[in-house]
Amino acid sequence: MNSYKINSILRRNRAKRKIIKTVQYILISSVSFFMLYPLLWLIGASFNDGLMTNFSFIPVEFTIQGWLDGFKAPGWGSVEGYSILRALWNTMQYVIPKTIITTFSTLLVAFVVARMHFKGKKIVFALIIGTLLMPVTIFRIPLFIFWTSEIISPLWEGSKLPFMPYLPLWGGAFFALDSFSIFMFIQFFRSIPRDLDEAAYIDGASKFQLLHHVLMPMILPAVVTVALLQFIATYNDYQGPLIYRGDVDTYPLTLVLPMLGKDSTNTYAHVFTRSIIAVIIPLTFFFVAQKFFIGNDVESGIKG
Amino acid sequence: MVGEKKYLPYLLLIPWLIGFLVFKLYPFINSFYLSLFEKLSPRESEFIGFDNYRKLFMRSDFFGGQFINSMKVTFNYVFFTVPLILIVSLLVAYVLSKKIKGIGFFRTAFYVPTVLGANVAVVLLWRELFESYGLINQGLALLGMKQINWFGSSAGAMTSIIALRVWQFGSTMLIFLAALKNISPSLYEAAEIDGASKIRQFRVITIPMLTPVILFNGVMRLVETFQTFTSAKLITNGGPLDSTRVINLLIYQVAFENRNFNLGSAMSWILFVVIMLFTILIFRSSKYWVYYQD
Repeated sequence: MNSYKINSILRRNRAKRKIIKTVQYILISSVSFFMLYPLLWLIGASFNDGLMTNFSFIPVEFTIQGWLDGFKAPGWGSVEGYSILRALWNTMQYVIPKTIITTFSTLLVAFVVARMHFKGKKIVFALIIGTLLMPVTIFRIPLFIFWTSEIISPLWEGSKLPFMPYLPLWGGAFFALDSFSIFMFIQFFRSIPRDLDEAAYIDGASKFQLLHHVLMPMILPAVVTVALLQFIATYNDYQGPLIYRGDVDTYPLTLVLPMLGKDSTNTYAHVFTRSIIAVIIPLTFFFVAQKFFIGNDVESGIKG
Repeated sequence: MVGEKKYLPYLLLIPWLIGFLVFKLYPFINSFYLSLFEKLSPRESEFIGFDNYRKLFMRSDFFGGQFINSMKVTFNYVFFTVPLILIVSLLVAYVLSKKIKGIGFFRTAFYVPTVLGANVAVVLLWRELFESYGLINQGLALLGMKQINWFGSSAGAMTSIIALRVWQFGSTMLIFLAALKNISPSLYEAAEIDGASKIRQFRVITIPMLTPVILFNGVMRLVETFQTFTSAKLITNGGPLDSTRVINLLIYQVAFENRNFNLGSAMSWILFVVIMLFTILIFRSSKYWVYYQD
């Protein structure tokens, strides 16, 4: 092949690659538009007086009234002091214990299964995988009967202590119920060479010292990922709080928000402001956690 | 590991074992037991064997024929949602796996709806977006298209809740992205030398190498979407004319609004069996289409 021919092939390839690149950018840019525009529109709508009847996210009639009293929650209960912040705190009373306890209980089970030798290990693993695909709907009715039974319900129903009125939503977390979290931790443990364990044992470390000092720092990305997924799933859960709802003043965000639609006291600006307040915490957690995210090595892989 | 206590692993697994027995095995069996009774009054019920099941399937007038309708609605929802999620997330993951500027931004942009989408606040926003004056119809007007009364027709209402779920393709995409990264570049180099086009490479290398992950994602999404609840409750509340009353919403109404645990349990068991049948079917079929490297 002479150099002219090679050059022309190279030029044609370069042109072709440029077209492919452009198509790719158009594709993912338009997809990101669909992904993010509703949220951008939401921000605009929280500053708009009246109906937002415009495709543009810029408010037609600007108002900050929504943000001025967006924290108030007229229409939810009649007692003074009902506010979105109270609903948010109610939500946190089950999200926080559920997230923390699930993360540690499932981590422990995964550690035992992935790093210890014992008889029946295969059965335990099979049960974890087997329950991974179990639809939770099938457990719901008997568990409701369990939590509302005469023996168990005095523990939580009408309780004035913090966290306790929401016990049915987080009490199960002690028992490592979330097979998916266990499975993720096991997979992550398996990716860490066992030589590390051996080295630690030779240095005289116990099982717990091994977990705490050697493995813990390495599985931090998995810990953050499991905690984030638990947090989001629990924060967004609607059916759980709906089934186990107590007095109106214990209602979490998921029950309060649908009550506060547009009416005589709540304008659209109020409604949309509260929507934004409701998503700030999970969004912040996501952005902080993202730095540790398991998927993040994807980027370094591409750059390298 | 000299002197290691033999019982330590068992000791540490006690909470998990209690969890398995009390929170999984017991309710699993108990819900089946409950389904064999008929509720007569709040305090009384009578053993009727499989009569609940027979009535749900055989008698079209039983419970207003709601059960069969809800199963159909759920099938509709699942069979549109799952393939759509898989296709969208696979294509986006494929583009993101290429050397692209701003990948960090795009990956975040595609994941944000997954963080927020199931949030009640966003579900309520979704309802506003699909209202007759909402953002979607405004967008259609801009494109010169006819506006649609989304909640006035069954197809429109169904579209709105399917769209909400597909919008949250982020976690599926991240799993595809991780899997794409694991495909050896040498495969593509070899194909390049042989003169295979990009589209052909995608078809004969990317797709086959991804089939195990497609299987995983497909099954996970299938189990999840069969149990969808929040969007059907808050966006359409089952309407119009029960066209979005998915099975989990019906179970909720029967069991927790009407306090009929027996009939609710029977429906839950049917849902369970249906999900398991599909899962088994997919796993059985996997030997024809899933490619395992080793």
